[in-house]
Amino acid sequence: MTTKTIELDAEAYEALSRQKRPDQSFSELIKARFGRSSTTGDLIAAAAEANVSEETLDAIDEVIRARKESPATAADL
Amino acid sequence: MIHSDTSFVVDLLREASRGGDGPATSLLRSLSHDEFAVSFFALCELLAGAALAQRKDQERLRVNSFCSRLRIVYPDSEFAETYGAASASRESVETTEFYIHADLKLKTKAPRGSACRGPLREPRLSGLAAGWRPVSCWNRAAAA
Repeated sequence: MTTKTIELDAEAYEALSRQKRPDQSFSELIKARFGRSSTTGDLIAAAAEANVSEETLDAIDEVIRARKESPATAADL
Repeated sequence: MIHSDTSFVVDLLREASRGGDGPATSLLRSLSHDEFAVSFFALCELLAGAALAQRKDQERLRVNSFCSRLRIVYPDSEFAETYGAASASRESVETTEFYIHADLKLKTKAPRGSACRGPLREPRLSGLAAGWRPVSCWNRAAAA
């Protein structure tokens, strides 16, 4: 993979570092926040390999249903 | 650009885990070259579900691995402005739905649509509504 070098001042470096998970590289962080694009085809492929359990999917559905318990207000901008 | 509600992601994952196509997968296949995005707030709901599983560490890794292959849209100061304006409004919506739809609309000014389960209940953000239309897996005609 081709790499490029960029120069950051110390404050910018610290700001970026604070956003990074321990298991994540700076490149992964930047792509996740700013650069990644995905198509519907990518999503189908990712879902096929995800192997998320039915138990978890049921729990997520419960989280979605719980939205009703937390109303907000909507703006007419 | 197609935005996805958490409900649509759940249906897609459920269909994949059962090894067959269903309405969500079929809808995506019909839109196979469109860019796709998931809100940070949808990611929160996915991880909230993973945290409730018995094998929560394993499930969290699986959800994170899945999401690492998608474009996640993160909130910024523009979203904070929108939330501030919304807080002064009197029309009530569900908080997370507001977060998801408002944030995604702000980031992609002219999205092609939103994929969600059942009828789209979109928060009223009329100033950002240009080019917006629902793409629901239970409403295939809307995607045509």
